[in-house]
Amino acid sequence: MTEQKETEEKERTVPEKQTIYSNAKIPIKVLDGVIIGGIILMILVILFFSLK
Amino acid sequence: MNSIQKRFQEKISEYKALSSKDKKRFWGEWLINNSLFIFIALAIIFIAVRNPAFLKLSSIINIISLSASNLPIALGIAGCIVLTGTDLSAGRVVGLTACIAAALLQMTGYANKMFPTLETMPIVVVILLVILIGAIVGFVNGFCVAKFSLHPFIVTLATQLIVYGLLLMFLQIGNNNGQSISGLADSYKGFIKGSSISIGGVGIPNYVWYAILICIFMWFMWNKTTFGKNMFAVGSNQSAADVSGVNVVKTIILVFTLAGIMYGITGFIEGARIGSNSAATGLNYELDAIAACVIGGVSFVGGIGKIRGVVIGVFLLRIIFVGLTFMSVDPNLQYIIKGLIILVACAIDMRKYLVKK
Repeated sequence: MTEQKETEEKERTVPEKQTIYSNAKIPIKVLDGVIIGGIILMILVILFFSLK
Repeated sequence: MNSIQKRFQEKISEYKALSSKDKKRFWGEWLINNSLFIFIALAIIFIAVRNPAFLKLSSIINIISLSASNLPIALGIAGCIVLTGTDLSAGRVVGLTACIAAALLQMTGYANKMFPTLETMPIVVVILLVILIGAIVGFVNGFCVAKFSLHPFIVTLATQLIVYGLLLMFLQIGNNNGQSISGLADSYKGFIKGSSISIGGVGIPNYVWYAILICIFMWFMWNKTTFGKNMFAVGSNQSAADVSGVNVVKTIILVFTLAGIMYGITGFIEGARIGSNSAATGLNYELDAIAACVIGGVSFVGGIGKIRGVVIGVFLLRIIFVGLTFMSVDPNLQYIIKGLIILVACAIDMRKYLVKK
């Protein structure tokens, strides 16, 4: 009876959603670097090619 | 209105309760999460200062028009991204439907008419036809994704190639021999590019109004229907939605079919807007649309996205490209900027996910 209950419980348990980023093991600081670096690069590209 | 005020006041009182260190962290987070918008705002100001014509009425209407033509495809793809998927076939479906619409709506008596014996067809029939073609491609995408549990990337890559093959074959039919399809009927051009309202002497093309109608329709579908709720439920957690009694297969198929319908409509608009349709029509449109969705906050995590976000994303992307053209920046550089924008937008999306986790 207990086994049956456990099986039912298992069936009802919804697995945690796997997302595109689920297995990401990147520190947030690295992401901050990518974001800030990307924006600085864009600014430099625009400035360099529009002011020359 | 009261609830918005209440929420705003709650936020302010929450902020006031923070310690000075937390307040610094709050602003740091805010700056990082909105860095792309801040960059784009600064870029607009910079471009407007360097070239004041950028913010002239004619330029603004040009940006609105260009954005409006890309809105339906972005709204379609946004649904697929909400389901944690994507759609790579979108651009080619736009190309195919644009060419079909152009071929059926060429003016009678045009020297290079694709089907010389065929009269110009009624616009309504052609709209329904391109919507049907888009819906069929979308249905095939959705069916393969839902029934065979295939990744949307692979399924839509396959349909992209199939649709491109069909497009190339279509362009060989009749008198065309692979040439661009032009010489469109005035009724078709007037229906799309004509303007019934003008502001300051600058006409607003009709397709801007169609795009607004499509936005309202999609907002209604996403927020006020069971289909919309199911879409977000499936995108948030497919297993949970399944257990809760949501018909996952039907929802996925419907989302992709609706996206296909949007591509068909985009094709119909683009057919007249471009005027000369070839196999290159619609090329890479899906990439711009995906970029606009990511900028607009439609998350690849799934189950997150708003219509207003997609609209803002499409506008911001277009403003940047028009602005770069105004600054006479090399068009090739636009690809670099586009790539960087997508990379930064994805990093922000991922950061939000990791912080929440």
